[in-house]
Amino acid sequence: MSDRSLHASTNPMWKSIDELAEGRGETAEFAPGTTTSALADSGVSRRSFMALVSASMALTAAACRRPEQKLVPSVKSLQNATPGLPIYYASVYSHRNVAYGAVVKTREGRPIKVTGNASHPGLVRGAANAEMQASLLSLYDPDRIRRPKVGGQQTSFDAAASKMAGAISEAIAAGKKVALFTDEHCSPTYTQLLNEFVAAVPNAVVVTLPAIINDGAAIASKAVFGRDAQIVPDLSQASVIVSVDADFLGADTLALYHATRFAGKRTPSKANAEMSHLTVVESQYSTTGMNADVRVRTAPSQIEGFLQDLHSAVVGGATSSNAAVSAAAKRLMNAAAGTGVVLAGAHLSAHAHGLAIAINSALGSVGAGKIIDASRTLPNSGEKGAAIADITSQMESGAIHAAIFLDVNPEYSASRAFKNAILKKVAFRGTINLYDDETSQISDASIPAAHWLESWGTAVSPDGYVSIQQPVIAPLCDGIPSLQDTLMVIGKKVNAAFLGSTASYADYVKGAMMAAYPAMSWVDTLQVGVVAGTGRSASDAPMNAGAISGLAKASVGSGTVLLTVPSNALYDGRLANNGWLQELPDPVTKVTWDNVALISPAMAVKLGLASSTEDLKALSKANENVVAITTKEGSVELPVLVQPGMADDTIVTQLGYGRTAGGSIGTGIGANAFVAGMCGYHAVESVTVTGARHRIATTQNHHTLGETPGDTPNERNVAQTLKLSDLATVTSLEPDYIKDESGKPLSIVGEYQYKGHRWGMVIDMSACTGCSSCVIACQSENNISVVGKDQVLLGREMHWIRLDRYYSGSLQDPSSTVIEPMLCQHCENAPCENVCPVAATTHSPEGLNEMTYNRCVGTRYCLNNCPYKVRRFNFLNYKDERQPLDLVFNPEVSGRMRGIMEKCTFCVQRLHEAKWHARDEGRARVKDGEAITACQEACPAGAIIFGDANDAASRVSVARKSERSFHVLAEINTRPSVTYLAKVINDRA
Amino acid sequence: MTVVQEQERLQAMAHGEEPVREDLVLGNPTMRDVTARIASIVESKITMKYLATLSVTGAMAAWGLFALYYTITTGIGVWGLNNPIGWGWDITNFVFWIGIGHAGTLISAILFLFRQKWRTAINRSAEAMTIFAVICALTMVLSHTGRPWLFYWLLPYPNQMAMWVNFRSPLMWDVFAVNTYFTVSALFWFVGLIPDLATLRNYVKSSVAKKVYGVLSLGWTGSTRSWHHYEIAYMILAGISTPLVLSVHSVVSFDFTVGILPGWHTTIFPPYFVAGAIFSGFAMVMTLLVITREILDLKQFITLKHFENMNKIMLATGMMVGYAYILEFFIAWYSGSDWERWIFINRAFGDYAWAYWTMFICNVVSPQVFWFKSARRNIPLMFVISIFINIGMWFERFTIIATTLHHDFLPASWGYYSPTWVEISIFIGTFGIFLTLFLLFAKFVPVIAIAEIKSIMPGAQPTHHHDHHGDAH
Repeated sequence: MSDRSLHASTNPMWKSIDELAEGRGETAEFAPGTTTSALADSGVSRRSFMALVSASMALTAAACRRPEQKLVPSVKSLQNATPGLPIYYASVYSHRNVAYGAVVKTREGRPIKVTGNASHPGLVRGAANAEMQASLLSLYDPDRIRRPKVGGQQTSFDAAASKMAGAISEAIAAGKKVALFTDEHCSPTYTQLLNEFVAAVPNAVVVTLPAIINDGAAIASKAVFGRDAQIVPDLSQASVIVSVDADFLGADTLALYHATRFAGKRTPSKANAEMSHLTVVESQYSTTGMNADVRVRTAPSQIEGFLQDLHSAVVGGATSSNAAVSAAAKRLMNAAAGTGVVLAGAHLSAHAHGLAIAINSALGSVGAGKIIDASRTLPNSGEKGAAIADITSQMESGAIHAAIFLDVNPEYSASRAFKNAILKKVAFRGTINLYDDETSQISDASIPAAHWLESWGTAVSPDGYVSIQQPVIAPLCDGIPSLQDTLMVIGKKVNAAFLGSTASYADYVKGAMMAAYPAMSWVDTLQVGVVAGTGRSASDAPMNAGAISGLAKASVGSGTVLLTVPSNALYDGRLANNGWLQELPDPVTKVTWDNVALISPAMAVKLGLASSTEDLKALSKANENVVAITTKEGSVELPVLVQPGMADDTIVTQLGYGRTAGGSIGTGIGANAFVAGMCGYHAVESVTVTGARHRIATTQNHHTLGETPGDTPNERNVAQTLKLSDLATVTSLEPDYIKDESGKPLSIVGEYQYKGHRWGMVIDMSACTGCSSCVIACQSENNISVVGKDQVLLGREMHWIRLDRYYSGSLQDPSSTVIEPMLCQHCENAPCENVCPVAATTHSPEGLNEMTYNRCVGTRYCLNNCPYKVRRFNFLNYKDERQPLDLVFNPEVSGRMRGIMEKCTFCVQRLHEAKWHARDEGRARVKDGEAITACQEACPAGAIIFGDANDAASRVSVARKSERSFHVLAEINTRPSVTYLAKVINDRA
Repeated sequence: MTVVQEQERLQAMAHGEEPVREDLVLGNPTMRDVTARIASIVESKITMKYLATLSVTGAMAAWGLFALYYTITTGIGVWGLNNPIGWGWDITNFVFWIGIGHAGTLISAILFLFRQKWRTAINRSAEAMTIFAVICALTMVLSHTGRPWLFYWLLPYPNQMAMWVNFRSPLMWDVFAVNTYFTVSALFWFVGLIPDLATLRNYVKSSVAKKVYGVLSLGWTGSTRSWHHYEIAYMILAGISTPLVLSVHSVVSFDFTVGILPGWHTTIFPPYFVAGAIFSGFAMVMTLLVITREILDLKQFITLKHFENMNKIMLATGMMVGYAYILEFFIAWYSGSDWERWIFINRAFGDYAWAYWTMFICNVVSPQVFWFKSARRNIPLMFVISIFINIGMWFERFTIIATTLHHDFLPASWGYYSPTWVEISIFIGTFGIFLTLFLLFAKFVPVIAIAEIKSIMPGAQPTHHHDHHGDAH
C-alpha cells in the first residue's frame, strides 16, 4: 500500500482539487474485484489495455535490470497496475507442434508463473505440463546468448543479420539454394511468414527438422486418409484402450492433452463404477505402463507382431495363441462401438500405425467426431524423413549454399550424414536461437532469439483453436527480437519488397490474424487467449484400407535392441539448461540429472553385472556400471539402471541429454543417445561393460532396488489399491481400531476446533498419471531451489511434492504400479509440531501446519519425526545467485536461507489471496474452488482436490467421503488433512 | 590374600566385626607422604613428553574446531546428513559424551552417599571427566543446528519477539537437563577441590601459582568450622547430583522416545540409557585411569581393588544394556506392530547390521570376561575391554539414530547415511578437547582428592583398621 492510499484511508481531508480527485480513485483502487485477474476483468478497453501493456513494459525495464534500480518512488501510480497485485496475461505455449493455452502471471512487470489457460478449450483449469511451466526459468537463464556473433566474434545485430542476408544473396548469385530449418511448430502465422519468405527469396527452401522424428503415423495417415499428418485420438470417448508401445501419458508432447481426457474415465466410485480399461504392450517401462490395468511386457521384436495378431483377431476374427492378444481383442470387441481404441507408438512403423487404424475402424472408432477423427491432426506433423533425406543429398551434392537454423539444433540431434553435410558441404551456416548451442557454435553467424514470453506469435491446437502468444516482458537480452522478427529483417535485406511496410512480427501477427478472422476483437482475444469461433469441426475422411498392407514394416531383430525415447522432462534436450527440468525425477525411474541405460534384471545377469535375477543386493550393485552400446549409427556410453518390468534383451535410454554446448547447467549431463540412433528401435551390435562407474542420482531408493523382499507397499498399506470388482463391497480402507464406537478418532486430548475454514486436500491416486506437472508447478510457485546432482545423490532434493512410486508383483514383471503424490499432510496431530524447541512449526486455526522460517534454528528434529518425510532442510545455501535468475521468484513466498526447514504450505499465499478477495467482496468465507494450490492447478488429471473441509458442500468434503478414501499411515493417528483415494485397477475381463 | 589373612578375616567375621577389606592405599604411607606425593605432580617440571602429548591433543582439538568453523560458515550440508536422516554423528556424539559424564556423577554422588570408600581415589578424575565430557556434548549440540548463531533462542528469556520456547519439545527438556547437569557437576567438583587447592596453595613455591591457588581456594583455613560447613555443602551437592545421574540420560532418551518413529518410540529407553551411560562412563574412566595411573605413578592410590570394583559395575551395567537389547526385540514382536517388528529386523540384518553387531559384541559379549576375577584384575585386558565398550556404546547411539531414521515408514523416502570428513574431524576434535582438558587437569589440579583419600587411610578412622584388631581405642 502506498503512502497515498494510507493517507486516503485514514484522513478524509484534502488539500487541493487534484488530491480530492485522486483520493476518490483510491477507494476504487482497493475496491472489490481488484484481486481478480486482468484476464477475467473484461471491462478493460482496448486503449487501457495497450496502456497496461506498455506500462508493464516500462515497469519491466525498471525492475529487471539490477544496476538500474531507482529509489525514486512512483509519485503517480501506474495505470491499471497496482504494485503488489499480479497481472495475468493469456498466451499460448507451443510444445513443439502442440499448442497449450497459457496464463502468465506477472508481478511488477516480470513473469513469475506459467499455468494453463482454462479458457483454452481442451485444458482443464490451469493444467500445464512440466516443460511449459519450467520454460519460465529459461526466460531468466543467464546463459542465454546476449549478443549476435559473426565468426565467433560478438557483433551488432545489424552486422549479423547482414551477414546472413549476404549469404543468401551470395546463394542467389551462385544459383544455389538456401535451406531454412525450422522445428515442428503450430503457428499458422509463422508458416505464412515462411511461405512469404520463400516467395520473396525463391531460392530458399524450408525444411522441418525436429530432433524427435517419428513419421510412422503421418505416413499411415497419408496412405489411409490422404492426410499427411499425425492424427490425435480423443481418449475422452475411449472405454477400452490398447496402447502398443505408445507412451501417450509420458514423454509424448500430447501427454497433457491426453491426461485430462484419459483420467476422466479412471475414477470410479460405488455409485458410478464406470472405468476405462488400459492395456499397455511395451518393451520399456513407461509412464503409460505404470497406469496400465494390464501390462504386457513384450520384446521389441514382438511389438508389431502383437498388433498384427490383434488385427487378425479383431478384424479377421482369428483366435490367437497369445493369451494377451486374445484378452485385448476380447475387451476391444466387447466395448461399445466407438469406444475401443488401439494406439500405436509414435516410433513404430507406418504399417503398425496402419494396422491400428484398421483395428480402430473395425471397432467403429474412426470417423467424424470419433476417437480417431482424421481431421483432428497436429499442425506440421507430416512426414519429415523424406524431406530431410532429400535436403541431405542436396547438401552433399553441393546444391545448398547456406543453411539457416531457426531454433533447431541439428549439430546435437541430427544423423551423422546430416551433420557431415552441414559441416563440410555447406558454405554458410547461420543460427537464430535461444542458446549458444552446438549448432550455433559451428555457425558462421548466430543471432539470439527472444524467449516465447518475450515474443508475439500464434498457435493452433489439435482441436483447431487458434491462440495468440503475446509478450509479457520486454526482451531481456539487450532487446533482441524474436526469431520471426530477425527473419523479417534478413528477408528485407535480401529483398526490400519482402512484407512491404510491415515492420515487426507483432504487426505481422496482428495483420494476419485480423485478415484471417475479421470479426475478431483483438483485445478480447488477447484477454481470453483464444480466437473466438475457431475450433475444428469434425469431418469424415474416406478411408483406403487397402493401402495398409503396402506400408513399410519395421524390422526389429530379436537380438539386443536399443530403444531411444524422448526424455520425460527434457523431451529433445532443448531446455537442457533448465535446472527445474533436469532435477525433475523421471516418473518411472526417479532418475534426475542423467539419462541411463535401463535394462531388465535378466539383462543385467546376461551382461555379467549380477549373478542372479533374484539377488536384489547384487542387482543393486549392477546399477551405475557404465556400458558402451554400439549400433550401426554410433556408440554411446551410459550407466546401467536395472528397471523392473523391462523386456529382456532391451536397452532403453532417453534422448535430450549429453549436450556439449547446453549452457552451464545442461552441458555434460548424461550422454547423447542421438549418436546411437534417432527416436525408436535400433539393433545393438555390441554392449560392453566398460568397467567405469557413473553415479545415478535417483530421488527414491537411492542406490537400492527394493532391498527388502516381500516388503511391498500393500503390505505396509501406505499406497492402497483396489480391484474394480471389489469396489462395490468396500466400506472402509482404514483400520477400525483408530476410531471409537461412534466413529470419532481416538484421542486423549481435546480436539482442535476449526471455526472458520479448515483446509483439506484429496488426492485421487486413480486419476494421477505420474506426469509430474505438479512438481514443477510447486517449484515455480514456492521458489524451491534446485540443488544439483551432487545434492540429489546425497538425498537432499528440495521438492515439496514428490511422486512416490511403488511396484507390486515380481521384479521381472510387476503386476501394477502405484503413484502416490506425497506432500506435507498437515496433520492434526502433527509429530513435527511438538518436537520443535523454538515453536517454529505450529498449527494454524485453519488446520495448516505452518512453518515459520524466521524462527527456525534448524535442529531437524521435525524432519526426523515426520513419518511422511516431507520436510526439506536447506543443508546449504541452494539459491542460484546468478542474475537475473532471482527475477523468477514469486514475491509472495519468502526465500529460505541455509540451516532452516521448509515444506509444503498448501500454498498459504494463495489461501490468503483468496481470503482477501472474499473480504473485498464482503464475503465471510472463500467460495469452493476459489483457493487452489499450485499443484492442483497444474494437474491435468484433476487428481488433486483442495478446499474447505468445513464446508460440507465443497468438492473436497464430498471427495473425502468416498469409499476409496484413506489416510496414509492412519494407524499412527497423525490425522492428516490430506486424504487419498485408492488407486483402482480395472480387473474386468 | 594369604591363608593367614584369610583366617583372620573369617575370625573377624565370627566376632561380628566388620570384614577385613583389601587396602585402598598401598605402601602404608603417612599423611604427609600422601600430600607430598600428589602435590609433587603439580610442582614438578613440565616434561617434554607432557608437552608432546598436549600438542597432539591440542592439534586434534584445533582440527575439530576448524571443521566446526567450516560447518558453521558453510552449512550443515558439509556433513553427510540428508532428508530421511536429519541426525547422524552429531547427535550420536552428543549422547555419547553425555553418557561418558555419568560415571563421574555416579562415583562422586551416589557412591559418596552409599559410603563406598574406594571412590576417593578415582572420584576427582571421574568428576573432571564429567565436566569435560559435558563440554564436548555441549559443543556437539550447539553446533548441530542449522543456524547455531541463534542457539539462545532455545533459552526461555523475555524477548522483543514475544516468543516463548516450546516446552512440549524434548529438546527443550534437554536444554534444562544438560545445563543443570553441567552447572551442578562443575560446582560439585569445585567444592570438592577447595581443601586440596588450599593444600596446593601452601605447598607450591612459585608466587604466581600461590596466588592462583590462593584465589581458587577461597580463603580455606582448614579450621573445624570450615570443615564442618564444607562437609554439609558437599553432602547437599551430592544429594542434588544423585537424581541427575538418573534424570539427565532419561531426558536425553526422551529425544527419541517422544518421537513417533518405530525404534525410537519405546518406554525402555530411560533406564536403558542410564545403564548405558554408566557403563560407558566407567569404561572411559577406566581407559583414562589406566594411563594416568601408569604415567603419574599412582599405583599406590589407584589399586587393583579400584579397578576390580569398576569392572564389576561394568559387568552389571553391560548386562543391563544387553538385557535391553534383547528385550527390545521381544517387545517389537510382542507389540504386534509391523513397523516395530520390521525396524528391529532391519536393525540387526539391514544396511546397518555391521553397526548393530559391532555394538552388540562390544557391549554385551566383551564385558562377560569380567565374570572371572583374574580378568577383573588384569590391567591390559581391562584396558582393551574398556576401549571396546567405548566403541560399542558409541555404536549403540549410532544404531539407534541411523537405523531408525534411514528406513522408517514410507519406503519411498528411505535413504542411507555416511559421515563426511567434517563430521569425523569434529568427533576427533571433541576427543582433542576432552583429552587436552584432562591433561591440563592432571597437571595443574590434584588428580586424587588428597583430603578425602586421607580419610580412608589406616589410622584415619580410629574405628576402622584391620592390621591389629583387638587393639585398644
